[in-house]
Amino acid sequence: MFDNVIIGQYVPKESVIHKMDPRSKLIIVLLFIVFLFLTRHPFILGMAVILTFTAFSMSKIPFGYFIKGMRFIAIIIFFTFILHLFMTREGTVLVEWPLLTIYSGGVIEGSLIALRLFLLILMASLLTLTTTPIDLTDGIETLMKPLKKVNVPTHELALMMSIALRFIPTLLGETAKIVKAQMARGANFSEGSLWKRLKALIPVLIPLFVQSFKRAEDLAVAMEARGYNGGEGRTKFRQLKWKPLDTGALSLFIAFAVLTVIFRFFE
Amino acid sequence: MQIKADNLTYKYMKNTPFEKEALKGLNITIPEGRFTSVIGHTGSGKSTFIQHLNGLIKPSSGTVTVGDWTIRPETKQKHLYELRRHASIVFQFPEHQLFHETVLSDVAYGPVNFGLTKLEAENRAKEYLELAGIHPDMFDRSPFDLSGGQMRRVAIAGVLALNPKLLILDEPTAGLDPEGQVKMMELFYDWFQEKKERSIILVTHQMEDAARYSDEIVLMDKGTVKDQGRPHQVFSKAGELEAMGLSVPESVKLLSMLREQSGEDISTAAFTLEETVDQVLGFLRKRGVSDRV
Repeated sequence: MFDNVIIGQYVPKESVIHKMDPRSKLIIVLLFIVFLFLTRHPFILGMAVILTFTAFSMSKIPFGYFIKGMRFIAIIIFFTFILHLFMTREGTVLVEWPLLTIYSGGVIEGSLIALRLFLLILMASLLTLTTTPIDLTDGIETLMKPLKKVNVPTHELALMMSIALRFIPTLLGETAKIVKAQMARGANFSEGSLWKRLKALIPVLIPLFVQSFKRAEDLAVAMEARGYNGGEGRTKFRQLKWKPLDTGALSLFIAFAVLTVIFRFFE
Repeated sequence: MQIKADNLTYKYMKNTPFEKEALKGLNITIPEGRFTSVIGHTGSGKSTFIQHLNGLIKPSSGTVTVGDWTIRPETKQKHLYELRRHASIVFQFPEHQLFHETVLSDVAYGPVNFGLTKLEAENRAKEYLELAGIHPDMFDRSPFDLSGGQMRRVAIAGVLALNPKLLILDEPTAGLDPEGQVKMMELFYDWFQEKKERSIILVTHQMEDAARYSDEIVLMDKGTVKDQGRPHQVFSKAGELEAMGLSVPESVKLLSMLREQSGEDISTAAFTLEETVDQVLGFLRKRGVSDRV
């Protein structure tokens, strides 16, 4: 039932992308997303497509697996496309019906936003697919360090994030188990009106919440029992290591960002 | 209901990088009206197999036949809904499935789903709650206010109240104290003996339970059935079981040791305390020391 969820899923493989430092991957994804939305030049967009797909193929993650996990996001992308298609009133008129008119600008705007969203999701998924949750939070924590000076609780934020990520698979497993147990007692999730189906979810959601609160309490007790008290003076067992590979990859994407700016000025 | 699996294969997370084959071409026939235990090491496919028996999961290839229902990879959920009326599962830690405001309505949830009126369902719920040893004072309490052991009894009453013909138990005694374990198993065994057409499939790591209650034992290893037979047949191959990371019941262990060290022909097929004592007494008598016992 939840076999195809890829949010927060890490796929262990031996690849260049997996070996990169989480900090460089995070910066690259941020840079890429910001500048992807700054540009509409076909040359830069083409470059973005090539960069994304090269990175994806280097990660050795089966593309079919990613596409399957995209089903839900595909709906969002499709709706965004449709909205832009109908709402934009620029360019020449392509179709004219009594209630709706489609302009050429709409087609361009719609495709542009769909392409941007697709690339954004692909890059962001690549980050989580190739980085263990613990590496990811370590990376975020180090990158946020400067904010500590203005009293942002960076360590606590990073810890909350890592716990949340850690429990996604656990909760999915738990949900699948409760769904099965209630199905064995005659629950029916796939028939009846929308209201009936929503009501059928109550016997799943309540045990799930009860379990989650219990688990949160257990976790808190376990942490306190071992004397956990936040980030102050805490050292790390796993050290992040910045490699030449990271410098190279980051340079490539900085070049992409600079090109984007240059093309914007000469448009 | 008779159970028959034909070349049953099941793959978890099919077509993803995490694909794992849990059942590999399993073949088995289990006749109606039997108490059957399924034993095997963690990861041998026991839990995956039993979830096929009421259609909670469907085979990746091959078929499972339970009574009049045949489950194939392409079988529709609607068809399986009917099957769940007759074949029910008590999952590991069943207390995790409680959700209603009161104990009584939680137990009545299943029967109502399968078409009973509220009154009929509540009457049946009362009957099975009492059978499970829950005092009527607790019927209107929230299930979340009960102790762990009581919660489990309520959850089990919720499954028994469905009145299935085939009851599947996935380690129902895990986490209970020894006395609670015995009581729980007696509850299931009494239910089983009440009607001739009732069958039980028990998945367990407790070899003593498997030996004492079962008509037949199914030994699973690496997604296939390694052995099937009466308890004394399966447990006579202690070496084979230990190679798979399993043990034999304590009584069998004791009697085999006695047999080895004395060289006498002692039967090791004793699974209760009384049977074991009888064997030991028989041995002592042979040695002519019975007067002193």
